[in-house]
Amino acid sequence: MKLVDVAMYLVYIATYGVIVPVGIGLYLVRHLNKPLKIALAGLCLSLVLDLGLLAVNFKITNTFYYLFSGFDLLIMAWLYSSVITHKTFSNVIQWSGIFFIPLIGLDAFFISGLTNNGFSNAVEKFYVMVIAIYYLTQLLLEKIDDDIRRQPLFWISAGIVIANLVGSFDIFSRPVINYSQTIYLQYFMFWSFVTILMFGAYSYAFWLSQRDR
Amino acid sequence: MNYATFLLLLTGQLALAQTSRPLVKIISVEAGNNQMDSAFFPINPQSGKPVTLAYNHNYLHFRFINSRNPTQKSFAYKLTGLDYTWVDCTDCSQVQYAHLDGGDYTFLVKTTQSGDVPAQFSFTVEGNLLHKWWFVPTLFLYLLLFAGVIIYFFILFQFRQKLKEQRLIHKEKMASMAELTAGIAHEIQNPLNFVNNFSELGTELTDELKQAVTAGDTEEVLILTDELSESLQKITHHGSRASAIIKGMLEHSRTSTGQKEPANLNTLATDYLQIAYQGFRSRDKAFSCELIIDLAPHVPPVTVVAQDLGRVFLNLFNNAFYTVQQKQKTGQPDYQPTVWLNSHRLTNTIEIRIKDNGTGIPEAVKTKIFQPFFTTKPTGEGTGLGLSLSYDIITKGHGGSLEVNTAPGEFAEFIIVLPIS
Repeated sequence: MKLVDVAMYLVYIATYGVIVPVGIGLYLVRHLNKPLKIALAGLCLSLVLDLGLLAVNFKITNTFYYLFSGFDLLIMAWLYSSVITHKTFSNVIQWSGIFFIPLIGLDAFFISGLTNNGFSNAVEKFYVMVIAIYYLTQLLLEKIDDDIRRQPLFWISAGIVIANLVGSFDIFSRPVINYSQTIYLQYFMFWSFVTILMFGAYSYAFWLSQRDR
Repeated sequence: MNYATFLLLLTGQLALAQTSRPLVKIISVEAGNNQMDSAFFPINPQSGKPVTLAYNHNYLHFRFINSRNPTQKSFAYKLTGLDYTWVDCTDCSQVQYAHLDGGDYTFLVKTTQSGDVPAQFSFTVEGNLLHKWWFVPTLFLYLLLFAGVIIYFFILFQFRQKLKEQRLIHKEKMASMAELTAGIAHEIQNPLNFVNNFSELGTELTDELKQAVTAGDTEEVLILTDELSESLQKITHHGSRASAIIKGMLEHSRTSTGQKEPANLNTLATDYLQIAYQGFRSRDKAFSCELIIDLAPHVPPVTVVAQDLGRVFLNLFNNAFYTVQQKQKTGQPDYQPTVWLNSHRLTNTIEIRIKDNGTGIPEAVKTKIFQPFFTTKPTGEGTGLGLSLSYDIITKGHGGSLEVNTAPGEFAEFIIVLPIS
């Protein structure tokens, strides 16, 4: 089996691996609190977009990528603004999420012309990572007496931070492809693995919410 | 201009055009690299579009031919950007360049005939990724961000752990404070009873004194005055005792300044034994325990932080009473809960032993009892910090040692050794 085949299999698993947390989330939906329901909605939307992409036979992949970035950003802004206790920060997150959407539109139609969502992706990843880190800080410092491993949003946020941190290496994708396809494929495999881990974290978080009730 | 002159001029122009066209034609160009993941691929040399090759596609293969005379295979070629002079070759029709660095190149090839115009093919090899000015700083920033996030969470977890420990220490202190308060309340009750009784007696004596004065019985007045004075002295004595107990409590509740002062370990241990015992009795009226105190005489004062050491004693006595109480609850016949307090003077140290005939410590647990947050008590009854803090106070705070000697189901004995100086 060639490296490119292994990489592609992993990418498929990572892409459609979202089915696992979506399945668990839908099964346990009555146990989920508001933030977890928002997270589940985001995953469902992601699955719908993936399936949509499959339906159009990957003909307008780039357009879908912009949609991914936009929806992910909005869902995360919604999720974290509902759990961040500091009112001002919560509002800032909510409004900045909305503010970034026209920027993605601007990039999509006027700057990159629906060809490469690198900029939108980078902005989205960075934004999501920052708010997830902020929330994790709040969680770690405010819920000192609670077992952090029992907090569903701890797992989701940790997964998001790790996946986005690794995923932001994407800004080097073009020069790396030019330098060596092997290295790029290896990075892609690693990124797929991290994405699978993130979906694992989502699944565990949904599972926890049921156990804790 | 006549017709003949025009024809001559036209022929001349055509001949000139013929000679300015290259005789050699580059028939194929292939690029690739020496890595397994990329094969050589053809490039159309006549496309006219700018050719840009990736850094690792820096192996180029050129094939050329003399378009006028294909059998003629003497050529001169040159790669501007690499070769300084023309390279002549006979009986050749191809040339390969390998490991070209990033940059702009033009491949020129011509016949060896003088005046021949060379055929050319221009291309650019992209620079090495590491040679791009923006790559290293961006990669550095990225790695910095990556490392920064990891370090941030590492510090955050450490900080959280510290906060958690502080809270638990505070909780432990509050718990010990509650036990101390219960013991002290019980202790204070005793002198207060005396104060109340002697005050009542004083009131009665005063009434009797008034009557004796009214009756003019001087002798009776003197006797009553003596009794009144004695009663007041007792009130003062017991009031002072209560005051001393409260002072002790305040000292315990105050944050330790860490200042060492000479203290009598026998007195300190005995005081805390009584406080712990009274505390237990105040919570469980049915609880009774035999206290066997055997203290070495003439123990010299030892320089210690009395508040900290008091906390150690209180914790060890509380554990002792807890374990004998637990054993008592099992309803063993003829079981007499007993706690021993012994002190011995050794050469340069003082040894204090606190022993109980409670449930003892299982061997598997024995190695963990001084670890922070380890407790065998039910949830909510112990923080698991008592013995850990005691161990730190004795060893790190006073340069002594704290050891345990036990037989499961029979006894547990804690041995504190403190240096005299």
